[in-house]
Amino acid sequence: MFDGVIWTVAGIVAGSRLAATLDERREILHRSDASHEAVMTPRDPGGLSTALRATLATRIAVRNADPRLADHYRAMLEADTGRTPELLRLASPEEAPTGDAWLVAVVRHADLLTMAPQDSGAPEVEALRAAGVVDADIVRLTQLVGFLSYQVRLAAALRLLQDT
Amino acid sequence: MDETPVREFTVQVPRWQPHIRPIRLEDATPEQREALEVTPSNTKVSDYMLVLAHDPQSLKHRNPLFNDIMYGPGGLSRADRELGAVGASEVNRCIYCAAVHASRYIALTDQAEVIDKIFEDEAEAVLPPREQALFNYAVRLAAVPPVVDASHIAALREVGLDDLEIVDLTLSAAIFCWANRLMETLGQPMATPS
Repeated sequence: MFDGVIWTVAGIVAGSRLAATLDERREILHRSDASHEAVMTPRDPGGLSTALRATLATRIAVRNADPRLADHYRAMLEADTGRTPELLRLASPEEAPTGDAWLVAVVRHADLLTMAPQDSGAPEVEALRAAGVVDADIVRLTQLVGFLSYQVRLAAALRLLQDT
Repeated sequence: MDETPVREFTVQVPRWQPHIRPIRLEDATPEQREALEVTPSNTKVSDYMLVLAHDPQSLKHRNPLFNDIMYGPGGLSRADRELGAVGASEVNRCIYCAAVHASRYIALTDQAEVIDKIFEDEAEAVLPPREQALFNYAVRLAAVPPVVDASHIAALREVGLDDLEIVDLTLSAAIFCWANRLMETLGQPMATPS
């Protein structure tokens, strides 16, 4: 039986009718977890540390009103030796980044792409570059926000199906 | 006449123009080639994939995930999965994804009028009961934050969806909340004005 991250954050009950249904989609759930690893703890994180990734993921989960998923990512952040007081502060979306232009641009893009993807085109890419974010990191950051946008919706729907 | 960005929903599939420089296939690392599934018989790789290859580990898992969700056997019909994709793409205003998947929906169902209504009235589109329930669910799920509740699940069951089909509809709408964000940041849809 599959029992990965999405299973845990959605609160799937082993032996339930939904668990049996999801067994038919276990390949998709496994690949979803492999994607979780690819965006959260990749072999090559590029310019985005795992602590920064956990910070952004917590922030995105909170913005999507998913406390359970937010707890999962906050625990990853707190366990990460790369955590800093600034990253712990930024895990809350009401906190705005200050100072370092690179970090300001990265957090701003994560917020905008989470909330209003239609506004995240060419000017946004130019703003990221102007702040020193290299192209490969723009792709990494966009994949991280994209994956979170997928995962938070899958978790929300599975919880509903479990309960109804 | 020169190409210009496409800003309105259309079934004419635009060309996706990257903002990020695609990697050059001849410079690709073994990991990038593996993620791109480049083989001697498969050397055609889109600019979109070559942009995503900047992050090969994400690309490697995302492509098969996407294919399983949209084309895997059993469960929800292919057409209904396309409708889930269109619903999310409408919410996120992803012109490119909406065009590709609306076209596929029409090819599979011959129901161009469903797409016409969605492109005209967007989230307020009035559709036949079954399509309405599926579209509403995809739209509510794609909202930020998602706003699905038990009533939307009940509406899907009322039009005959079982749990596996609801999971499949969820997956198709959710994977487009991801795909739309890639397409909209990393490039833009372009076409020659007619």
